[in-house]
Amino acid sequence: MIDAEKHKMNNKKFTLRRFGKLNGVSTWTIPVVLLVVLFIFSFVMGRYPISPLNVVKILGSHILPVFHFNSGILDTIVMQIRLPRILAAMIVGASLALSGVSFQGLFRNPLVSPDILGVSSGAGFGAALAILLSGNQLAIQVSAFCFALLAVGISYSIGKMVKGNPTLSLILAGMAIASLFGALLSLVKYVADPVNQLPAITYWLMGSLASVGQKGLLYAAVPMLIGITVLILIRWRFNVLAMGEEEAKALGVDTGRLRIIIVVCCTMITASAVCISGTIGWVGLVIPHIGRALVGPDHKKLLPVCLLIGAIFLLLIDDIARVVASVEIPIGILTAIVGIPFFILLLRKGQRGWA
Amino acid sequence: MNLTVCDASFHYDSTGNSGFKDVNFSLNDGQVMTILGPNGCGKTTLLKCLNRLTELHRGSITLDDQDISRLPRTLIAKSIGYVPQLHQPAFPFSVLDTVLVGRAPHLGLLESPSQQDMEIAEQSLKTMGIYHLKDKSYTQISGGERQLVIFARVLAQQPSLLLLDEPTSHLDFGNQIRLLHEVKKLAATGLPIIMTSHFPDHVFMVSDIVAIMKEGVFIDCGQPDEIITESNMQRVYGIPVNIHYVDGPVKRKICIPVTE
Repeated sequence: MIDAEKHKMNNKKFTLRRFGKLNGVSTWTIPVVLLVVLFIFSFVMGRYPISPLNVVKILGSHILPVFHFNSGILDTIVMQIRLPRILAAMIVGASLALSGVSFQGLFRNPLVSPDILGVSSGAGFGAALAILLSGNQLAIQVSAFCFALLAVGISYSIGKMVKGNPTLSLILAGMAIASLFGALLSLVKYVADPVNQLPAITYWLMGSLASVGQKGLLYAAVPMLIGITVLILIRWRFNVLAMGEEEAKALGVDTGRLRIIIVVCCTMITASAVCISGTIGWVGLVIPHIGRALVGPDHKKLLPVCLLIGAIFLLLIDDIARVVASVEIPIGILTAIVGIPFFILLLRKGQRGWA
Repeated sequence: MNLTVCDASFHYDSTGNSGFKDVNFSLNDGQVMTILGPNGCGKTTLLKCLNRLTELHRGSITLDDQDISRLPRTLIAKSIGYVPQLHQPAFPFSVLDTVLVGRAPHLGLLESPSQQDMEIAEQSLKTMGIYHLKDKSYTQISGGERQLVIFARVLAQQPSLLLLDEPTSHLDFGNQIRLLHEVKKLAATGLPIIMTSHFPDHVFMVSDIVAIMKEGVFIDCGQPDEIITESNMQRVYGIPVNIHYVDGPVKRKICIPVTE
């Protein structure tokens, strides 16, 4: 008994799970509260001053018709301008984090990010091509989405053709296809008009939530929510997959089918995220590591936690992007500048192997 | 549970599985069968075929008169537990989470372990005598303890047949013997067990049937006392051995290499 207690103590010392066991407070309380507070707070951020109380009133008036709020301008700012952007930041952050943690679980590799199979490169090329052909906002998004799917589709087919370790061949195929679309992107940049098109392409690649509108968000949210729901539902299976291809099979898992489900869901949510926000790096790689430091490697807890932290992280970053300078800073730049020092701190404090 | 292997053959393939040819045997409740043979003779491939991780090229494997090539994977996993040679999980899961994974064949795609599954996992930890490691991280425990954890996982799977690929290979002397005791205890509950091994002494200790495999062929198969002979060992391993019966508390044969 004493022995068992000692082991428990040791275990606590090694992981940062204190967070999850703070005097009986559930693991979820802190991130959920943080997200809600940040959500309200994000409406306050911006040029036009709005008090938090008014934010709650306006939001309330749309949920329950009991509240009445008569201010056309404030209502427009909150509902038409700030709400889509805040929702977009949350869902994009959650999507990237979730597909990151899913891919890391699927490939059993901590260095994997959502764009390992070429999603971002495909989307980048698609968007650049649409800009080159003078497409409008919708054309850019659709083209980015289609080429993202195409890139992953090609990676997956090549990975299937190669014999041997299926996860390894998939990663190798993904790297090759990502490089290919990277080269094609360079070609588009090379031929693009350097006055108008090239800056537009460059800006898109840096990532931004500034141009997200209600409609675009609505279209992108559907595939994202479907993908997120499926991944959350099958999350325990990641623990089985983590045992390795052969052992998972011996435990009755149809690994081939599960791999397809995961790749399709991750691709769907990442491609949708990328097509409304541009390429935002780092979130999908770093959030899973933060999640693991908080709740440990059990995917049953890890996936929901990553979903929450991803949403919090990108919402926070987007707030900073909006208010810190007089000109908006591209969000892709900020995620790295803010995320990397935090990640290094975590690595230093973290426990073993998988941060 | 009866397992019957009939004329099973597998050709060497590009993925590195060594082949075997015309393997025949049958195993019933509570029997322990050991497959003995030099490295690369096809033991591991045979075990994988028994579990359909690899498909046979010819012949059949039947589980209680059902051909396993026609059984869905979940059903095979409910009946057959498999402990691989090397187990390296990518994540530092807790011991309990690792054992819980053994419940996978009993859970649907969207399900995760229930309270009942949790109790089964805890019970298997207790059976293996490692309940106190429950919350430890899998990466913090010793190699011997890991092997016991994987054993607990396969118990949580509640199979009716066990396949063990060199279960003692990464254990120290004491843990090897302890593990063999567990194997014997499990067999006593009626579970048929097939394992591969490199130690003739282990065969004398736990096996009811032994098969000697060389270059993919069963060159001899039957009761250990009759099969593990000085001439057979010389033939398979190419070294001279002496086999003696030791009386007293031991009461079994032992195999000693002859050195000059």
